[in-house]
Amino acid sequence: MRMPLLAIIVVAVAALLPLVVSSSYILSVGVTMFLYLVAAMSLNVIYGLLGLLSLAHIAFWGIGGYFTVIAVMDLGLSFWVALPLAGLFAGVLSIAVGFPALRLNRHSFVVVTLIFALLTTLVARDWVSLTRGPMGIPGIPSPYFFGHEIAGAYSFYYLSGLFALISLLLLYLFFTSRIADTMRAINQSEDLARSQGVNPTAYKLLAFFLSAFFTAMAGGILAFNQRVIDPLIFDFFFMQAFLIMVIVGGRGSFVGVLVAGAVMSILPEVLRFSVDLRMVLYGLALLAFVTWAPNGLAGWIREKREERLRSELRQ
Amino acid sequence: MSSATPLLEVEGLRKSFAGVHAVDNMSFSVARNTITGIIGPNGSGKSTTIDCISGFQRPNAGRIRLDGRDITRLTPQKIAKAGLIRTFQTVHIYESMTLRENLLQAARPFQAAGWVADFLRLPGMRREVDAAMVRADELVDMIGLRKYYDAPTRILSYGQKKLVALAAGLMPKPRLLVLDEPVAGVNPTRIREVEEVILNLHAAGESFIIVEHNVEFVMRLCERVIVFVGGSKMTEGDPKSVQQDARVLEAYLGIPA
Amino acid sequence: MDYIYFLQLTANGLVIGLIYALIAVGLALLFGVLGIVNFAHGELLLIGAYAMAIALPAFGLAYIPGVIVAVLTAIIAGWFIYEAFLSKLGHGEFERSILITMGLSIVILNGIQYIFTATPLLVNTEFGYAGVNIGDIRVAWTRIAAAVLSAVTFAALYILLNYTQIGRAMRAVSQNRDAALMVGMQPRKIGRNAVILAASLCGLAGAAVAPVQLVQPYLGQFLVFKAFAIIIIGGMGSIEGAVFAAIALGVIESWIGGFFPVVWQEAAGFIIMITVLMLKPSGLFSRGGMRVG
Repeated sequence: MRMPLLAIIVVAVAALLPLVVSSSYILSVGVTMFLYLVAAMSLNVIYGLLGLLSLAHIAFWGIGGYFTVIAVMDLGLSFWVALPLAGLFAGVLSIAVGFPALRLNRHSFVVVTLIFALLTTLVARDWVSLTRGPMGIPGIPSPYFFGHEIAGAYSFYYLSGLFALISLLLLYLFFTSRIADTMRAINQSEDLARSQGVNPTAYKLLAFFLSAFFTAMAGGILAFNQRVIDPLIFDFFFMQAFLIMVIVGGRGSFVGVLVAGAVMSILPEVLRFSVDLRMVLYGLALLAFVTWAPNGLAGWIREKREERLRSELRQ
Repeated sequence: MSSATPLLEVEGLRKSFAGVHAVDNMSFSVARNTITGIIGPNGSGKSTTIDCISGFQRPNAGRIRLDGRDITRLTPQKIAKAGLIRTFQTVHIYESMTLRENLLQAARPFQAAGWVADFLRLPGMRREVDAAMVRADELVDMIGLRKYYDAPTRILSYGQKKLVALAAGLMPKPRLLVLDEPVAGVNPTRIREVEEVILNLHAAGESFIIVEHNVEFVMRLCERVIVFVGGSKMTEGDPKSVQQDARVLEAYLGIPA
Repeated sequence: MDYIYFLQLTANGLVIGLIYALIAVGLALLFGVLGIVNFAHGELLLIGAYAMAIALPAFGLAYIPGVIVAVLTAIIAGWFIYEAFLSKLGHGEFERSILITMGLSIVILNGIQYIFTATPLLVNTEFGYAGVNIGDIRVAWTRIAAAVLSAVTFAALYILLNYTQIGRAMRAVSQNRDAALMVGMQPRKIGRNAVILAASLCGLAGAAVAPVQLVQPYLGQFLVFKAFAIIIIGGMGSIEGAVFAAIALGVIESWIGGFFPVVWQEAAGFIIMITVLMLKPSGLFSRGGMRVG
């Protein structure tokens, strides 16, 4: 039972980090990591468990950001109300989009989810009365927690860290539940699942809802951390980053994506490459893994285990 | 339902693809507690009929009743829940799951525990899982694959996978189990094992429809045999009379009447 | 309504539509023959555009040599991509093809940005800003050149696909892959031809676009997403559909842009796509059953 102990140690280290480290740069890297982890793990639900390459994922990340900001600044809601509301809105929207999209064949599904993502970028850029257009919305206020202002790397580290802890815990419970098992079954043989009484569409929509819900909230916190939001939040860069984390870690594996996500958030900062070069390396990593290790690190480990089992059973 | 009602009734089933009638005016019925065989040459509509009665294809015309209940236009999952489970000609199995997991997954949709119970790991769910484990234990021994219980089914041979598919089909205790070529591609020793399994289950009250090319297998096992030719039923009867029917010999073996 | 203005819009729209068509046809071809959705398609165009931008000054701004360099560069890039990555994909590995081409797209785009920076390039040709007046409409030479280039290309493409062995092999695989393989067609050779053809179309499109729009690293992305919408509208494997939908979209966008806010111009393509998806999900020109999704 090493895992729970390891998990507790990691959480403890993460929680105590700000007390030891004074650099706000490191703490801001931590914020990014926490939020990316939640978004990547959410993608792991639709793509990892069900094999649905939904490029609309990036849309919900941005929609979460915009919704939270607009709800707080234009509608006067409290941040703590706006955030979960953004999650719910994204979740419902994902079902509205997912339902017709799932009727299409695999190819059209991917392209249509892509188009949806582009459409949201369009709306963010051009529906100026709602989103203030390409310049975005600056001057996002700080949230207040019982009178205590949440501003600066230190506070946001704890906010996003706590958010990530709760979200990832819930997602972990989900990944190890029988619902996830059924999703994996659907992914492997939808016909077999149907012949066993499973309604695949219901599960796919559930996956859409969950992934949009958590991702939107992560996007919301990101916006408040940056204090400004603009259409660049829909940039495909984020989608590619989340995809790479899922693929390198291993589709469908909770721990794999967790580790890959953490490493790929921190590593580029450590290596201090220019942004372009960093992206080139991301791209090369994606290419390398998809070509030679499509099931990621977790998949590679699993294959090794299977080989051993196979030879054992031969005796 | 009274035991006089047939378990399955197929009336006037018709299905065509791009103008070709795969199934044309197919009618037959199956009584409960029986093992019924369906044989026929390639292209006689066997698989299409199975697809239609299990909801994987929409019939163009006709009616299908399971225990008196009209299941003609239901989705495959609803038909499965109604008690008609089918296996597939090309073996369908969850390759990356272990044998045990495959069996448990087959029972899951039939359990009362919903998403909330699953997520919160409520006691009701745990009880259902335990019950399923018991049944899975019985079945894995029945198919003689206990050694591979916790191995991913990917490593099994084709014949072994077919056995797993059979066991999975039995997990939810279906009213009617439709086996689509259960021994095609399986080596002869295994075929005997499969026969025994089916006979034992039959003795325990299970009903089967077996679609097969292996005529000997069907004749040994089935109480009644239906012969499909050209998309409709040519004849039916007990194995002996069907075997001696000249028309069957001609259609099947090419031996002129 | 101003008749002249309308004709001007139509003329512009036709030119853009023809360029869209060059891109969309390549995409449709790759989907039809290889079964992949090429996310690096825009970057092949980008390579063509940057090649054009670099080659033109070397040839004293002469148009044709620039185009030839652009096409050749794109072909080399496409060939390499095929041999190194795409030829290794099995036929049903659709999602994997997306990820691989996505990875290539990231590498190429950011690589180009790293080398050339994000500063947009203004590309000059021998034609400069000169144009010709057809009646009361004015069309710049660069646009005419782009239109002529496209039209000639489509004529050549038509001949290629219908009258040559190479072309017919591609159509055969696109319509029924199994049958084509059974009669002995070699998938690798045909796949390579399709990629080279698609890459040359992208190179041409890049060369045609370079003098007309500012060349910057995201040029490919912007255009290729339009192309995705176009092939959905036309039907994903259909070449005729791609051409028709592309030209129609170019013209419609131009009309809308001329009378309504720019927003609607960009949204037009997407709205049409959504409408088509709701009414005929397989696209306007698809025969249904061409590709089992």
